[in-house]
Amino acid sequence: MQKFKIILLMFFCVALSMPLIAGDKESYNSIKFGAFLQGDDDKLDRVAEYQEDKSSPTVNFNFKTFNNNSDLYVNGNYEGEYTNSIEAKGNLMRIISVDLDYSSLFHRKDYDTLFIQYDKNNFSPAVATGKVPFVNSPDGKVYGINKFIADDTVTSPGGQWYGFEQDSTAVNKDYYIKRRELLTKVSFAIPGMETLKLNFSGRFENRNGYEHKTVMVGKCTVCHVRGLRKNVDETTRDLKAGFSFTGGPVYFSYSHMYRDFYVSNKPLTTTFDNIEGLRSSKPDKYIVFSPRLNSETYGGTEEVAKTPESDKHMDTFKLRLDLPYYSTFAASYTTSTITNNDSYGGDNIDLDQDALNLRFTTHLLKRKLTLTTKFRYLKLDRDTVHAELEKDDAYYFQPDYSTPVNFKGVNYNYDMSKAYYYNDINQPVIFDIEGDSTYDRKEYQFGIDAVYRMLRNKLKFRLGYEYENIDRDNYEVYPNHKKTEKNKIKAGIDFKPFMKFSGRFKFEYTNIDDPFAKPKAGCIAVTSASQLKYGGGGKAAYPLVYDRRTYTGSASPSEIYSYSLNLNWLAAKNLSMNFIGKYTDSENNEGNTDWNYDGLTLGFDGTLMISEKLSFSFGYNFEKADTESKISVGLYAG
Amino acid sequence: MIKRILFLFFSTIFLITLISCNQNLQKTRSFTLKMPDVAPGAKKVGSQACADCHEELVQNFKSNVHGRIIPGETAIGETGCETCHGPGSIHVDSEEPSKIINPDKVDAVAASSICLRCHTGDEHQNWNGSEHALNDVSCVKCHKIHNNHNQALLIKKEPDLCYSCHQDIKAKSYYPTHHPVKEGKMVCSDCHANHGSVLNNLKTDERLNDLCLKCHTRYQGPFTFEHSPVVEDCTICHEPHGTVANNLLKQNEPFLCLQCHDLHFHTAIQSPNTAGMPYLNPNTDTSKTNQILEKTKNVRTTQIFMGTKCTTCHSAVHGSELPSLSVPSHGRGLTR
Repeated sequence: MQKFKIILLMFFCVALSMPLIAGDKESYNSIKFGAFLQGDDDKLDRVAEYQEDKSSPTVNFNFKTFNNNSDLYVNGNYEGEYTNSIEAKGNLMRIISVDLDYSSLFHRKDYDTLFIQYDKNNFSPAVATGKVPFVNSPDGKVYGINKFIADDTVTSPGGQWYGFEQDSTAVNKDYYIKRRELLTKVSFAIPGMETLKLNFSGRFENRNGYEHKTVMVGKCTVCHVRGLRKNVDETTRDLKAGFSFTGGPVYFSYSHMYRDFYVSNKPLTTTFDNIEGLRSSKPDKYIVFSPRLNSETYGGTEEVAKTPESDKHMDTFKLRLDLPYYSTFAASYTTSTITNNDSYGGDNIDLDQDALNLRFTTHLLKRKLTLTTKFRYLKLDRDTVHAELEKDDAYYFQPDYSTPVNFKGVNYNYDMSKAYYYNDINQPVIFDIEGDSTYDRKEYQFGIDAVYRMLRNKLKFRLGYEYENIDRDNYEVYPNHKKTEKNKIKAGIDFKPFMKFSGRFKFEYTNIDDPFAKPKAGCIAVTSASQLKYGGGGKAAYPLVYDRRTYTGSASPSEIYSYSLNLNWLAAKNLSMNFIGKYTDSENNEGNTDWNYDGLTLGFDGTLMISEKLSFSFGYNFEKADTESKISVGLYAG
Repeated sequence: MIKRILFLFFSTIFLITLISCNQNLQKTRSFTLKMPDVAPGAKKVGSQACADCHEELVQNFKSNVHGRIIPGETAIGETGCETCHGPGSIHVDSEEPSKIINPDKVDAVAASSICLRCHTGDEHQNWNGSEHALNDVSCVKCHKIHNNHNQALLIKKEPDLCYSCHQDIKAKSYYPTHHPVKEGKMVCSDCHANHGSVLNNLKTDERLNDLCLKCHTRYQGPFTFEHSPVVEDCTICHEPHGTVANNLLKQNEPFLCLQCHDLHFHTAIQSPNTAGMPYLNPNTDTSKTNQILEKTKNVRTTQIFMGTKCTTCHSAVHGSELPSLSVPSHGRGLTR
């Protein structure tokens, strides 16, 4: 924050001196005072997400001064201690241009507590037995677990068979983020060649506050979830430098951006369930779970909710060529690398991205016909990651379901009727993980649009076509399908039958072959129940169930029909009315879930101008959206 | 790094070549980018001639940036009234309004081409072929050049200006979850390239996700344990203009997740009261602990725990650098 203040101060010293040095000047100033009040029957984070308080005075001021070739503009807003902004723009002798914008925002973070609140007077917690997890909070209320009663004894700091808001620090607290952003932009025009500019810009964003995090602290998620209060102190710093030049019909620019994202808050930790507890109290479960758990967390205090630090380098090259017949050729090429400096495996993870964009537009038949065509190529490549999960030999043994496990002198047989098994009997548990990414792909896009103005300003037709191809290297959207193809056609008509009435109707149809989806998402294809059982087991076993998942789930459409209508009516000299209607029908008939989306928007608004300084605006909007999808529910007991 | 250095090297060479050809290039621009010809044969008379009749306009024009720029700054090397309104000799002599270019009166392509003679680069590079251009929303539909003290010479401030056409987006911005646009902390042009861009009028030269990651950088990764739809496209799950569900999700959990994932097995069955997941029946169990359950009678415990919000357990849904506890999921459970 101190840095921000110093930069602000320096800027104002320089900027304010510009018009004073230049002498003869004119100014326009204004200041406005106000206040706001917020009612809150519900929690503030539900009804006033971006307000830091229920009420506050507000102040806004504008200051603008200029002379022949220098100017300064300052605009400030105050809406509370953490909700304010100031923007300043200045230009000195048309050589140096400075733009500075500081703003801060208070963002309340809504969250779902794991517990409901009980009145202490009507509640007798069984503290002595340790069977009822609860938290005695400073406000005198008791926060007990609301949906589940444990049958086990609390034996370790993390506790077993229950979840809770850790140490009551997460209960009834405020969760919020204070976001501060400073944007600076400086541009130097080279005297004598003012169309050559050196551009520098910076962006500093800091997010500071608290957010609610839930985390699994044991294998059996249901009861081993804990709520934590995480301190957040994250900063993004973007620095950009480059040049631009306009020489006759040619525009050319180059810039390099460096982004640095770093985390200043302390790592959040929590104590995980101790496998010993399970081993001693439920050995039959232990012998099943133990070899399947990443032992890094057993009973220890480990980091959770980690945000990795990263950086990004991006180079951008832009070219535009103006040609006769109002024609333009535009090209841009961007190459960037994002690096995760904080990966689990220890090695940096790079994501390389290259994007080439080309566009040509021309106007023919005395500007009655516009044709534009575009092409886009994108390539993404992420490093293959390698991570080794922790295997503690003290707890690990290779499962052999035919042999009893000896534990403290007692032999335990695998009870096939319980069927807790995750892995195929003959497959070892994998701790070394090699992973390719969904990022890895090549994308191609091509599009053409034509606009024909049959009767200038009165009747216009539009036609368009777009093609897109996403060729993924690794991720299968459907079994053995890695490629997505999209075809889109657009048609529209603009009409103005009368001077005071105009409208526009648009239709779009999109067909997507193999849209993004998750294959093997659920549903089981078997002809007899025994196919899901091991040996003489009585219940379905996990690995067999997982192997037989057949349906593909998706929230992306394979067909979209979209219609929109806009009507504008100048009802009187001082009354204008607009109407909008929009309907979208999407469906996915390639997956197995009969996914369908219908969206309807209807609305009108109008403006009535009583006088030059007094006008009334009114409007009404109606929106309805329905999404329908089959879901898969596994009817098997673990 | 080598690619980056080569990139900078060739860019510099190209720039030097352009600068050396600048004088010849400058001459071709005004020839290439022609003004609408409303008065054939007209000649330039200078801004002072305009002031003779339009005194107030010319006087106020000093407060406008167009009144302060110097000729060298513009791509055509000119400033003054006739830079935008064309040669005025016939208009001055005849006092005929139709003999001078008025951007409000010419067709949209011609009106915009006047501005594009100078506003050629930066964010205007992709104007031609943009949605606004193809729909004949010319520059003067949003910008008012004379007698206007608004920033960027906009007719109205954002977002009201954009809402005057995009009413459906306005409606969404009033949903319970929204970006802080109506609170005045963001404007449409923070994300949208109103003058056109290479990607769906968004302010990015890369992917849609890269635009979101500018502010939501904590999800930039790239993560060891990633969630495929997060990598694919943020808008698979989020509707950035506003939603009823929290966190700009298109639907509430678990329904959003269930479109791609099956429901955990425990949610489909009543929890047994003997094994694994105990379930106490408040109608038959009279123990002390039922005092809590009295308030949640007939609750199917595990169903409720696992069937409400997936992110209660899978909290690292945007990706993680910490493996989940269960090894068979290869650490990709996104629970830490």
